[in-house]
Amino acid sequence: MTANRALRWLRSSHARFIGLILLLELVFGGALLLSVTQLVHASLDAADNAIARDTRDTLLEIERQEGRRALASAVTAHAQDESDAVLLLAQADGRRIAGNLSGWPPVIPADTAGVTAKLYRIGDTDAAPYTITATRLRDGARLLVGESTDDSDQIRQTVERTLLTALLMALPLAIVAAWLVVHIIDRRIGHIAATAARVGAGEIDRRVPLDGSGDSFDTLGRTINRMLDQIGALLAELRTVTDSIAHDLRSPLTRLRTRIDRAMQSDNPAVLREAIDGISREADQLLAMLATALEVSRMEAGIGRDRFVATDLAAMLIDMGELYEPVSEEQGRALAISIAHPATLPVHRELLGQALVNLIDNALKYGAGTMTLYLKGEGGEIIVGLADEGAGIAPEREAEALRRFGRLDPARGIAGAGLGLSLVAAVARMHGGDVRFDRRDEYFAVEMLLRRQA
Amino acid sequence: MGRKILLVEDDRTTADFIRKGLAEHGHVGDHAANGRDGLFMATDGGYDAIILDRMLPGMDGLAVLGALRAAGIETPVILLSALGSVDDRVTGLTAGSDDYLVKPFAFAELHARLELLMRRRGSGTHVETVLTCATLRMDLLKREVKRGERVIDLQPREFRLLEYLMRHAGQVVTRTMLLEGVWDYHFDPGTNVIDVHISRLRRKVDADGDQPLIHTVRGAGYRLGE
Repeated sequence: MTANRALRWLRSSHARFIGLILLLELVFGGALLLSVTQLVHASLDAADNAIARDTRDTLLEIERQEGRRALASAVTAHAQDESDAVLLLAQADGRRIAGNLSGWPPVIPADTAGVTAKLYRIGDTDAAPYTITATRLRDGARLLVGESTDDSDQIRQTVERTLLTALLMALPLAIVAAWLVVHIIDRRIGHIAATAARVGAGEIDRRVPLDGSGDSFDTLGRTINRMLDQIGALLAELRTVTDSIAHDLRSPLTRLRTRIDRAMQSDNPAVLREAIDGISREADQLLAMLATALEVSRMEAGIGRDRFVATDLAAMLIDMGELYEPVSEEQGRALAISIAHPATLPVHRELLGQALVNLIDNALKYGAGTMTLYLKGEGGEIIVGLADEGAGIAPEREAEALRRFGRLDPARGIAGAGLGLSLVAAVARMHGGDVRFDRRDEYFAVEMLLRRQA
Repeated sequence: MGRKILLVEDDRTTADFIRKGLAEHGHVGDHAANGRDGLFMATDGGYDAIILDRMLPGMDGLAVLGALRAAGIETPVILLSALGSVDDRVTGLTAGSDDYLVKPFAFAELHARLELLMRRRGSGTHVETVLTCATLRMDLLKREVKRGERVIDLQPREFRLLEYLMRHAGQVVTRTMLLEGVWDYHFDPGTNVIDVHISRLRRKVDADGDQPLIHTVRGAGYRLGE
């Protein structure tokens, strides 16, 4: 269980972040340590070597000016003065003449410079490290000068220790730094998460606080806010839709209820029969209203665009005219077709047909005189419209007519599921256009603009 | 003539309503209340038609239909659905159903469509050039219609309307079936659009003194026959 949690934590971005910072710190510190020690090493070695060479040069100078004896006494004197040096003047076979070594160390060649070796001076109990310069004199005698590297070693060790300590002390600091960074990130993400949580809990108006810096957190917050705005707008729209549906369904449902009540009070079969017919009609009307509302919602959601097929609009209008001509004639109305601009467009045939039927139905019920179903072009747009010679919809009532169940004059009692203009408008919008009204003297037309590229 | 029909429908009320209707018309209606049972019974075969609800518990109606057709079972299927949008209808038809009916519906509508499907299946696909019904005779090649010796002059659309009725002579044809079959639109025309077309046609076909051939079936539609 705990092992599992540890594993989960290791996979978390926190652990990765902290791990990454630690790793970087270690690599960087290690490199620093290595290079500093190398540098210190090199420069200390060079210094020790220089001292040994200087001493040798001085001694050689003494021999050159004052002879071998002077050299021997100088070596003796020097060996006594300098506590951290080795000196040896030896014969060609390595036997000691003067100095603080008992004999020529076998590991040291006769001619060398900068060799490091551990040597015992006369009287020493422990061997100590020296950097050694050896020179063969003219007569074969040998001179060895060595400088203790003890001090340098100490310095080296101190430097290494100091650096290592610094590195180790930096480790917790690095962890703290990593934790701080993680914390900062957490806090900014936390704001976003908290906002999302509150929105999820119903506070749809909450927004992510922005600092305007334009960094990725700011951008994320902004994007989320935009998304929330969109969701909010959709919700508001949905609420309006459901409210209006509920409102519009209430009156036919109430009528239905009243009819049922009245029917229940009667025993007369004829009255009952008529009541049931009426109820059935009301129910059909309700169903039609619902179907229209659903269809409009689907269109507004963009469903159905994949069903567009290239359609000869002129032929379609003629078809429609033919379908409605008899019923128009029966009601004493004429239905004319006018094709000013034949066009073939990709359209949703069923829905466009339904829209045309709605227009014709409206004109039959509410309009007057000859109806004209027409097709014309205007700029890049194709216009399908229906005109009649009635008064049409008053300008101030247009918006109401386009509402989902807009029904302008319920008092007239003509059956119908609203004007169906909301469906007409939705169909037009689905085809990239819109619906508009053309109003003149004894002429009223509802036009659907369809775009070619729709 | 009794037929064996499988009804796959989870709603009790609808199922009882349909079974009662089927029994009244002399059909045997077997009932499955979920998709899995429905598929099982349908695979057993022996049904003349299947009435399949689109939304079912266990296995969706479209899935049942897909499984049936994949198994090579070509029993005619009518999909029933509360999804009435144009696109739902098209999806249902492209999924392999032979017809699609939106709830709620009149039983007469369902029955008319059912008869049509089962008749279509029985009749095969031979090409007819002359259709007859009593003294009415339609020559599809010459585009000529005669009632006895009287030539009837028909508009092209009236011709197609009558052709549809004659091809389904003796059967009840509903208004929506006519709109689908003759005009190829699937919406509900609402007003009495089709009725007026029929009454015009009736004036031409059933002239004074003739025995009426075009009958109105109350609450359902029309029937051509003696």
